[in-house]
Amino acid sequence: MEKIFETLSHNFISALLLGTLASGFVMALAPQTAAHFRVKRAAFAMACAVFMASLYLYFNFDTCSAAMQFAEKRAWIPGLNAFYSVGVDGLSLFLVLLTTFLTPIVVLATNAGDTRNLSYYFSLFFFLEFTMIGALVARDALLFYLFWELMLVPMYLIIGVWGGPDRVRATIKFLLYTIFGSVFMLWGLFWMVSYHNIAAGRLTFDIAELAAVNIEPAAQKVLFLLFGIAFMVKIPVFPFHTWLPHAHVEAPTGGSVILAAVLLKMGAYGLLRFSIPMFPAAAAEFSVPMMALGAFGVVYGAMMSYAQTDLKKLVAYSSVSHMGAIVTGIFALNAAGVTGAIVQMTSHGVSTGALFLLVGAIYERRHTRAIGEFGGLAAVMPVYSTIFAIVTFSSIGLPGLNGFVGEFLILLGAFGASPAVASVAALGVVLGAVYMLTVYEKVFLGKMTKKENEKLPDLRFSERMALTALIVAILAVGVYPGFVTSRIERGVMALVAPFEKPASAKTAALNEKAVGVCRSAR
Amino acid sequence: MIEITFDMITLIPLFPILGAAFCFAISRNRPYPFAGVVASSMVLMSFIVSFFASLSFAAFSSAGQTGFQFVARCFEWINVPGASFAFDLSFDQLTATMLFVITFVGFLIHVYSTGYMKGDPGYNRYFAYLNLFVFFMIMLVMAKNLPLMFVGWEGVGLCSYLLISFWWDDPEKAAAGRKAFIVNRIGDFAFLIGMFSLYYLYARSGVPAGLDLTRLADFSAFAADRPFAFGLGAIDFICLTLFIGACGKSAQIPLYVWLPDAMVGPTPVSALIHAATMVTAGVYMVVRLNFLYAASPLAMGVVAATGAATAVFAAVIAMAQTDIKKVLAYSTVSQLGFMFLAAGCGAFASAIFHLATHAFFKSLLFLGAGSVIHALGGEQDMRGMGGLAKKIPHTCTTFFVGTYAISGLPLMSGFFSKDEIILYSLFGAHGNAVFYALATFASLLTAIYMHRLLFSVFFGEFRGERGRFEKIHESPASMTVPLYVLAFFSITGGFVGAPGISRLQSALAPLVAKAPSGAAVSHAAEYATMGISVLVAFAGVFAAWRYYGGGADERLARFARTFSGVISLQRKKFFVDEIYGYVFVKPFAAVSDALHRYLDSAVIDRGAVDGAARVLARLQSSFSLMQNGDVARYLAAFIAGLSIFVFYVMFVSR
Repeated sequence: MEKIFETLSHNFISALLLGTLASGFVMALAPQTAAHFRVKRAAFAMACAVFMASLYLYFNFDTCSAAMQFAEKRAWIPGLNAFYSVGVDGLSLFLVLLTTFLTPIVVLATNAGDTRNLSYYFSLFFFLEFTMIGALVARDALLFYLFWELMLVPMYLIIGVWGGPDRVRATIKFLLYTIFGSVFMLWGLFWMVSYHNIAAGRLTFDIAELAAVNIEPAAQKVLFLLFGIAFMVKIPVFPFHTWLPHAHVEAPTGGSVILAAVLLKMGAYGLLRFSIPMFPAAAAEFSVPMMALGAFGVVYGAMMSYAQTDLKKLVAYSSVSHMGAIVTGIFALNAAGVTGAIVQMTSHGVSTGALFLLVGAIYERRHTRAIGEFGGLAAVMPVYSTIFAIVTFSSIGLPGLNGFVGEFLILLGAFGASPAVASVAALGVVLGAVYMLTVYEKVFLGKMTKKENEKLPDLRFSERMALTALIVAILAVGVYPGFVTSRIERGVMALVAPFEKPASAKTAALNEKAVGVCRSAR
Repeated sequence: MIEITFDMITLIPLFPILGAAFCFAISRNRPYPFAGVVASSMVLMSFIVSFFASLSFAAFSSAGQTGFQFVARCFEWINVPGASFAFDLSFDQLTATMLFVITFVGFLIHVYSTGYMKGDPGYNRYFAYLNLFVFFMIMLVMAKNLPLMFVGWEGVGLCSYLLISFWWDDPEKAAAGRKAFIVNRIGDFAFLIGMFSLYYLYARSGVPAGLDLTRLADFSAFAADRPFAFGLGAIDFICLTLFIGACGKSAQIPLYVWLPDAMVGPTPVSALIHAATMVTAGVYMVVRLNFLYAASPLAMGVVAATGAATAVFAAVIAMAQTDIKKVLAYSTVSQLGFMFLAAGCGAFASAIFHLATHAFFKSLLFLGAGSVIHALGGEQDMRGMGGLAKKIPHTCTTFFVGTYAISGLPLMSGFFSKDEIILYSLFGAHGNAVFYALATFASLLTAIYMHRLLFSVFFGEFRGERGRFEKIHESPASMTVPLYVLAFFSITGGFVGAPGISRLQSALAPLVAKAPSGAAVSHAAEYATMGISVLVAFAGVFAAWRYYGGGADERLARFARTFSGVISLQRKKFFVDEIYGYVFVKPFAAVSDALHRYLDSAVIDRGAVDGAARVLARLQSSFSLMQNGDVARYLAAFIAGLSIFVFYVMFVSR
């Protein structure tokens, strides 16, 4: 028995990946005659088990180390020197946890009776979870690329089979767009590997090893752009964003949640994992332009949100705005900005996930998402409108809720890199309130104007549970961000170290302090 | 600055947040009177704790300790390498003054609310919001660093939004709440910019100040100004951006527009949030950061000028309003202007003095107005009132005290505090004759519009519907007792700062030690300005009596005919809302819409993306395999591509 545990703890990430994969197969092979509630219960149990298991990563994470933890390495394609090598560090830990946290929530909030081929639907979410975790834990570029591309398949099927009326066009656009980006990444990767092969005389796909080679600045710039296009499409950064609202509008609720909460983050994660450590000179050179692009996205996304008449499109465009802020934070290339960006990725995952669940709940009841069709809903759906309000304030970064921590750190970091760009990005503080409170007022406040809305049922028990879990996360991170930042810290410090100006007495003192604070969990 | 750990002060914000959690938990149940009792007693507990903390503080002081404050370290809040902001609370003379106002007035207003909100289906929810507000307001004044102060700063904005829109099924009220929040956020945007600038100003000097207020105050000596942005020095820029934040929260020109609209909230809320406490947060912030403002004469001038202009402008509008609460709202804007004028002239302690006295008499006036509205069953238009003194004598008596205090008539609290401001507007370090003239003019207008209100509500003939007058009844004791308590403090409150006593000013003196001091004021000059103020106040009362007193209808009508143009301009609030609508709101909506329609949908999506897809499709049409959207084929294409790549790396690139 002890031996089993020991083996498990040495291969924990593989166990996690296998768990999700197995859950996916169990769901795919489940008898189609099984009652809906049984299928949902089984899926929920498995998703929860994966989430519980993933907490092992959280509790055993060494906050004093910037190295890859829970690392495993096995031969994969020997001829290519490609390894199955996985691990988590501060950059990826919370995205892994976000993924495992949201999967049971999506299962819980799914209306089982209303979903065709329920077990297939759930199995795709497990496969999606598998590929997303895979991409996040990969330490080998080829492995990363494999998962990065595989991720598209379950998402494609979720939107394409369970989506809305225009799903075919939406999925093709989504797929072609992201593949278009990926092609550049593949090209860049392949150039990168060759470069390393020539420079170091050794073929490798190991991300850390690839990052260790010095690339001449001119080549860095090209490589930065090749990788950058793939990531910027995924994030999405203006002007590569138009696939997003389209895909969201057609996607089923669960698909939207995962798409907005995790899939988009893959782009930002790619920037952190590849673009910045591999091409530091280019990253430093493009720092301000990238920040400006992000800041422009903040304002542009907010204005687009304001112009929407469809609730789901509004939330989708708000993601463009928030992701713009994340890009701004990342390219501040300092500890505050990058930490803020990672916190914000997690926070945005939670709050936008909640918003899509809420939009899905109202669509299911009313079969429309047109903002004009609502009004005064707070009278008939008090729980729904209260939760919507909390999530709205989380989304617009009210202090005390999770959205503030990330936004504040992003802006603080960005201000250190470029006060002008940070000031533009900070306009999101005003504009977020403008579009979110306007839509909240139109949908929930005032007199009930439509007869169809008078008998709308409030949230079901399972929906309430799902959203309560999200609100607990919103409050926990908002009040005590140390839950998150303590584990991000070392990874971020290692990432931004090359960009720091020669350590002043002050940073030295602070680092000294950080060493004192960090607690080794093992 | 010596920091004495005093963990008991943590209880001060803890009580109201617990009360808020309790009331929120039962917010969907039917109204429980118990909720009101719990909420009120939580604020009372905070008051008691802060009172004891003040006593302890005084004990330390009298034991000879100087230059100290109480602190309570709670936990690491935001902590990343290079930026660490702890959840630390502090308590000093300024905090004590603010806490006294917040918890004491807050408690009275909670008690009053138990009567005022009786029978409202949202009773429990109301107390949840009100307690939450008290919590955030306490956080605002107790925060030891600026980001934590910002938590309270935004938190009170949230509660203001929730309480203005409390009766959310009325579209006008819902819109007013949103407007308040958004206008406040414009200020908060500037506040953030100022805070970041301040952070880097200190960080780059090699001092890890972490925006800790005490340490900033200690370090400010080094902050020699240097060019920063827009041709301004760093300190100038920081002070001005932070002041824009204060303009949002404290309703100064040009961001005052939300406050009059906020009057649609329940009247006790108007008294607590939109008169006594939240709107004074901007004044508090400027006084708290007086060491910075003192280093920027430019910012001081802007603060004083904005305050003076707002004091006059809002008073002019207040003259012509017919809604009893709107008059009081513009009056609040005007009085806040006085406080900024004082701060801008360098008299920071006087600003806090007026803040405290104003909290008492203005919440008294609002609660009195609430009692009137309650008695009349929701009527707020003064044209439907008159002669109410006979029916609601307690309300009338106390309202009379409030009016007397705000008008600055001798020996009332407002007399001492306003007089000090008027004095410093002339003799303060940054005072001058223009500020003095504006302040005097504004106080003349104050006496006029307040007595106009008093006379037309309580005296003369009842102008409402016939038969309704008989039904008017005095409010319950839960409402009148707080009125009397506030009236008592409105009369006596001024003596803590009266000339010759000046307890408040001397207590605050160590905190504003860096403030520039003006020329020494001779007693003769002091008495002269005091005499002029008294004359001006009486002139105002007389003018109001002439036009609004008993039997003056004919005279008023003639006056109204002569100045009809000016009056309607005043009544329409100089069309500022409309101008903002056309200059900011509508263009924003139009540009957003146009960008969405033409750039996003047409050019980027249908033009570039779909166009590229069409071109590809045409190219692809020769490859029949790739025409349909079959996933398996896409996957196959991937694997093929991947294989080619693998092949290349393995064999070609070696």
